[in-house]
Amino acid sequence: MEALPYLLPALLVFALFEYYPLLRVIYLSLTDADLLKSPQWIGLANYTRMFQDAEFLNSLAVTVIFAFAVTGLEVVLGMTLGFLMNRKGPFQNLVRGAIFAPVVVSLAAAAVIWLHLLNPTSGPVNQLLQALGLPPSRWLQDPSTALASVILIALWKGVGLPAVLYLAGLQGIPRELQEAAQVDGATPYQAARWITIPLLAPTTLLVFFISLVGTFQSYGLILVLRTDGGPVGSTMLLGYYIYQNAFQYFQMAYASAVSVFLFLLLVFLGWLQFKVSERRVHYR
Amino acid sequence: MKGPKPGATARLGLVAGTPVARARLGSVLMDGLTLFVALLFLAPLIWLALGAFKTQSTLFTGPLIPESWNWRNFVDAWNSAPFGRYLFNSLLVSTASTFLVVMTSALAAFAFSRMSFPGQHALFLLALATLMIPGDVLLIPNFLTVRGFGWINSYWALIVPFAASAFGIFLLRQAFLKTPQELEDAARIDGATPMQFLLRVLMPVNAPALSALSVLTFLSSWNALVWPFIATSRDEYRTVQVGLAQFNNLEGATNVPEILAATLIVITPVLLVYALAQKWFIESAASSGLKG
Repeated sequence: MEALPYLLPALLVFALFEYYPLLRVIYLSLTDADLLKSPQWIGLANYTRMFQDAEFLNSLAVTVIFAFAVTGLEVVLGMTLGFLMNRKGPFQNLVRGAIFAPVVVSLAAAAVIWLHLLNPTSGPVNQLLQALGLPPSRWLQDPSTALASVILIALWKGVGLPAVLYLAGLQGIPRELQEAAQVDGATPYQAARWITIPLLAPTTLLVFFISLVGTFQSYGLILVLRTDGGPVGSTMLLGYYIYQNAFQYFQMAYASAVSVFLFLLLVFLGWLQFKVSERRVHYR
Repeated sequence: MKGPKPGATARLGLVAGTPVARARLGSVLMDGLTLFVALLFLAPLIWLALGAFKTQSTLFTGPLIPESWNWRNFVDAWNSAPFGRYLFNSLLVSTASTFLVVMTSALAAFAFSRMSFPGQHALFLLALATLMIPGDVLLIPNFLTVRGFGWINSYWALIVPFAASAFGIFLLRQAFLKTPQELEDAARIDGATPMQFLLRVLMPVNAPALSALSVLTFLSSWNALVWPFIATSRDEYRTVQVGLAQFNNLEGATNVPEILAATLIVITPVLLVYALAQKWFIESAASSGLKG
């Protein structure tokens, strides 16, 4: 077979580091594996334990809130910023470069910068709030604001991508359509509401799912922000919960069960995206 | 000098209350808003860049622009953790991963776009399906595999698992499919083997797609955090992101400007390249729809 040597390198990597581990994580989730003894088959016990574990249920709730907050805000802000980036003016290049810059900054650096910006005692953000006559906050150290702080950081770091996707979407809309609306006497608001935003539906769908899937994987922030999932579990994203159980408590089997659950959740979301795009988005 | 005629001022929008004036005012307000948003996004980076030159006592209390530029922070950061080694490791790992991804993707994309063989469609779908498996779900089994190979604390652990990319195969296949068949026929007539055609013709003529893939791969490798964090525990093999996270944890709040200096060292190479090729960066990201 002539094609085989061309395919082999990529397929070997996929087999070894994508397909085999997928089967292995499912297998591990049905055992009592840790790093020491040889694993014993225990059936679905890890899954039963998972759904009775208050920490897991809390982590799932935190993750869902985080995911939908970040996704919703990335769609709304991304679209708004996309409009701003598309507008001709003296600062057009500056604003494009500025909004996208945090995307190329690493997660670790973003976390370090914000950890110090949000310092409750002396951080610049609290200083600014006080200068404006607003009450300071304990940000990452207060259970009621910690998750919101992580959402803020994730948005600063991540919204540039949705914004450029909307920018690309806006540039793909034929000029004649907006001109026609203008000729018909539509206000800019009406043109946006009835023409531009509906035409951006494919972009919105893309942004929605890219953001949603991305948020399930942004727990690297938690690793650097040193909240350790707290205070009182308020920033315990599912990814961090897996990391903690696997690599701090060495409960490989239990953490594998949570991983498989996360995988099924993401596959479900992927399927949902496919269904929605098949039915609702006709513009492309 | 006489002022402009009334008609001219109205056209220029200088008379308040006219539609043109309102549009002009709106335009100036929008320019102001645009500048404000740009500064809002840049503010954390500006604070970082200035703070890296301050002392612990002036960082939070002194003026925004440092009164004296304190270069010591960079020297101290560089000396208190092996940042040179971290940078070298990151550069090596990112370069090797990028080279391998480009090669494995080009080879597979060539087979998927320019050959026909039984099971082609099924294999292509099988490769694409890996996009549906998030890497974090595979953290535990991949850790066990790499540990089984004795690869913990080695470059292998940081490179080999990322040596192929379904996204890369997809991207290059799209590009290769659009390349005219005549080029291949001409190369055949000149006696080129398929491999020679791929390396000498197909890849060079698709340089834009290859470079977009290279930049996105390099960036995600350079910025990777969780896997290198787990797969290495010795400074010898730690990448710059893990090194920075660790440095931040160790130094804590005792010397923040030093941490900021270290952060600046870590992000400057990427930001520099970004500043030079901003437009192209944004276009690559927009066309791929992938997180960097």
